Amino acid sequence: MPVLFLIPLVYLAALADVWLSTHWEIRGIVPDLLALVVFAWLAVARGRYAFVVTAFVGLVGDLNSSAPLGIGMAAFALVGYSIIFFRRHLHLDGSISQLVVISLGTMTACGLQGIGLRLAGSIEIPFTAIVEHAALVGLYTSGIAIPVLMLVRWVTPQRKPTPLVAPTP
Amino acid sequence: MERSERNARKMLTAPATALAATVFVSVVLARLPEAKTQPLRNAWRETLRPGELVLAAGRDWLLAARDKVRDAVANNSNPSAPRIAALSERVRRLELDLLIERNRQALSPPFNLPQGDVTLAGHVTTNEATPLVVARSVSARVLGRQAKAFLVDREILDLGKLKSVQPKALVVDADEAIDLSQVVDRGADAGIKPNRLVLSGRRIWGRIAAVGPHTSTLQRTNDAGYRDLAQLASLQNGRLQFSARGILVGTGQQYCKLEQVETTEPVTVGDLVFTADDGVLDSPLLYGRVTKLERKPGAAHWEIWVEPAVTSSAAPARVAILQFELNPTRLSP
Repeated sequence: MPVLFLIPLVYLAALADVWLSTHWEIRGIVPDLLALVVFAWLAVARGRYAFVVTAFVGLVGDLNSSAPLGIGMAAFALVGYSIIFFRRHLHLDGSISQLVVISLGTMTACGLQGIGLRLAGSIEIPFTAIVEHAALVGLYTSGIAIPVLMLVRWVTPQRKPTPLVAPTP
Repeated sequence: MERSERNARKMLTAPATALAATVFVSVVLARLPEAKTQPLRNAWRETLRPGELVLAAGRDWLLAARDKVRDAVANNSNPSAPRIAALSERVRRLELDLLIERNRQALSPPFNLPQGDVTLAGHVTTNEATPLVVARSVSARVLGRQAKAFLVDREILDLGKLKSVQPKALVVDADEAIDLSQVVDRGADAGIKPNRLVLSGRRIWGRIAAVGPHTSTLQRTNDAGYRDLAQLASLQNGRLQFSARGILVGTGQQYCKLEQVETTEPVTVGDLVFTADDGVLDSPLLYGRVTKLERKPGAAHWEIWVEPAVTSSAAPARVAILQFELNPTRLSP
């Protein structure tokens, strides 16, 4: 999917984050819609530098919250780079694979953000609580992602999974 | 083999370089002071604003449609009820348009209320009904330190009674009370009552906290304990558009806070804060301007800081105290 299609999706996800966070919050856990959108896109994106786009979406997440700028950007960049690295060896086109990418990506990004905020002194909760929070956010986000992925799969035509992109000679 | 190894290494190092550059930029952003990053946040809030307005309009439309359906079900036995409701709604919209048009003056230089006792126009209705409650302003001077000390010495100004400090017991405490208190030269002898708004032009400085025989003390909008219902307004297409209501709370510091504004309401830095319509004045009075905005994750309400329209550094020398009274025209037989 081209990057241009990602822009309105990121905008809508940021809006929904503002509007719906209080309605579907469970014990302080809210799904990360920006992570859902960008990691779902990253799982099928072609290009070695797609993680730079995820970094910008991470920056949007920082702007959308009261967290210091840059922490979400770095976390999303690192997770995006890792996904691209593993994508070279794994097929990530299927819905299940995308769901796993969204779940693990969100957990890791949320955990890295929490650790970054802890190290920066913005929060004072223990690291175990950060990991637990990240895991719950990842699970909640992947739960929201299931019907979305089912709808996308139903709407888009099926195609064969693309083979691994061999290094160019 | 060597060529493929070289190409594979190139494929790995180029993205790694991009990653390092991205992380470097992130670290630089994280180290920037908040004053430098605030314009970015404000720009993002402005970008989200159209979407929020669309969502708010959609929500209002859905709620109106739901109410319409409910009314249709309830009004089956009363055919005139929908027409009455429609006419009432039209009246309400016309009144709001009139109010918004008059509020354009709030953005021009301060409109100073005339000196002396002046009766202001009351609530406007389409059939020009005489209002029951009218507002009038009483002009007053703000007493400086020397004037206050003079009156304390003459035992005319009893700051002890008003501020729980004995004026002659401890000189230091008395001096502190004199310095901290805002005093005007109108009291019970001028018919001043507590909790009346004190204006500088059409901007609110505070309200009367305590009334003495000849003087009154003032609680400014940013003083701790100040609370009032307020509403937000933004300038769109040259007109003021009123939006959410909240509670303006004095914090004892430079800025006030506007509380109980839900995060679903579109708010941005620079929005104006007015008094909520109390059905007496033609147009609301200005409290200040939104200077800082924050939304904590999972929070239901905004954290809004408001810069008062009348700041301590620009304290006025003359003010107008707003008084309400019954319209004698309505009471006369």
